[in-house]
Amino acid sequence: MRYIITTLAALLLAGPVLAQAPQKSQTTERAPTADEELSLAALEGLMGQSPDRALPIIKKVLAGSQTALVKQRALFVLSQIDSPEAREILAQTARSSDPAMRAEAIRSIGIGGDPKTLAALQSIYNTGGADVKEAVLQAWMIAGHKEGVYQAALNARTEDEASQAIRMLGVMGATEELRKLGERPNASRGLLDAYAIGGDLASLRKIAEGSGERSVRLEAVQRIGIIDSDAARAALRDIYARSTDAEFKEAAMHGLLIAGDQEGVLALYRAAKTSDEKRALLRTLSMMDGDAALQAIDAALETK
Amino acid sequence: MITDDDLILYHYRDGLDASERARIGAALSEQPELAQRLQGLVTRLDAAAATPEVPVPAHTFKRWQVALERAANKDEVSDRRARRTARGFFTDRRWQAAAAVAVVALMLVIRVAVQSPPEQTAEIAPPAATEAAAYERGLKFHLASTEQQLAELGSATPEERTRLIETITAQNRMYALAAERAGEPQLARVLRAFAPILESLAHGGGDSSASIAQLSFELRVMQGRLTQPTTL
Repeated sequence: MRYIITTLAALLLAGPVLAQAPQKSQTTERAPTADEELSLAALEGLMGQSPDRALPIIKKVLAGSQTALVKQRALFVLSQIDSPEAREILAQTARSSDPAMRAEAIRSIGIGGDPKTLAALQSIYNTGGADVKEAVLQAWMIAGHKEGVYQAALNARTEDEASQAIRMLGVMGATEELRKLGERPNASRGLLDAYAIGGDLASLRKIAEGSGERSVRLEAVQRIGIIDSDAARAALRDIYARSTDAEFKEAAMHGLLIAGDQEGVLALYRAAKTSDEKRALLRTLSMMDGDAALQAIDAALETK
Repeated sequence: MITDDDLILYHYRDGLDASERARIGAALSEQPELAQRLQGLVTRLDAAAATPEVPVPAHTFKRWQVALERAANKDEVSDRRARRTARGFFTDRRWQAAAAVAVVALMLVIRVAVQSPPEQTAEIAPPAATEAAAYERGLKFHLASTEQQLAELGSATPEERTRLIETITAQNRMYALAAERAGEPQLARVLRAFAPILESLAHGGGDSSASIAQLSFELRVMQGRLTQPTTL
């Protein structure tokens, strides 16, 4: 065992000598070199060691002259070590001036999942630029830390910032948090996407039938079409049938087109009272290119 | 309505046309319960695939042979008749795949029956440890197969590459969900951490060797961790 750990340490610390090109902040958007591959294999080998043996070696790698790529991979290995010292190193590196190391440390904090370290990312998020904010949101997503992402959406200073956080909530399936955001006036368009991705028909319908900005309500109607369920298709038919507003009818028709609900459009076509309406629905059916469209076209031609 | 057979055919990329695949893919991304259902099926299939092969006892093998021969003789006439009326039924790839799945399921049932001593046949709920072990075997298989699939990306055509990345992403999502449900949040977090890299692989048109190398490294680290659970 002693021999193994010595060999791993020697391989890791000899890395830069073998590479003969230690660099402080080189880009890591590349595949590893042969020398780096050797160091990475040694890092993999650390998974077979106890934390108290592995941690000192990782610390040496991070403080030494290994390439940025090897150091970043070392941060991932560090995320697998459950110790306060490992978490402290990650927290420090997350404040590094080296963007690549900082991003990897933030990600590793997400993987580590320690609540205290995750909460500490809040101040990094607040003061960071767009890249840092995105990295922190991803770390919170990885950790399933919905509250952090919710707060970021709530306190967003720009529409982009809000949309990014809301999209992440959608990815996380944070239905409750998204609903809380929807209760605020003037729902953002990012929220509509998140509801659609999350299959939250009730929230989309609430916005569509609410008294908010008209353009957002129209988009909410269309987004219902993204939800692949019988309830969503029924909702769109209902909105179309009940609405007297041409724009809302059109939005519902687009939603049905997105949902591919040929039967629904065919039923509306049969129930349509004016030739303008019939024409618009027939065009939609034609775009759907299915049996229902053919039935309707046949019927339309037969009545001539 | 998406059946288990549809999900299995979707998972094995067999027997479904492009529109059916798109429909199921969209439904999976929008309905967590459907994704969980697929994950359950895949975990069971993966666990079954990881079950070590045990030779079938001679007397059981003989019994199958006799039964198959008897069935073949009996059905020969009706088969001919059926072929006339239902030609094409089993030439459909969907049905071939479904039949293959059914045969695998039947073999598994037989294998379990053969391996279990008679006094244990009434046991209904397997112990939690068995489920955890099955999950872990499934996860090891997933990590190893993902590493192998990543290695194939370099030589894949653009279409194959897109399909492979889609498959890896869907499997990864399922295993992340399964890890969460199996009470393995640490593993779930690592699997979720793969998602943005897979996304960049799916959307990044240029050189993706850096992302592939990073994922491969992390997959190997996790395999090492699963092999030695008492270390880090």
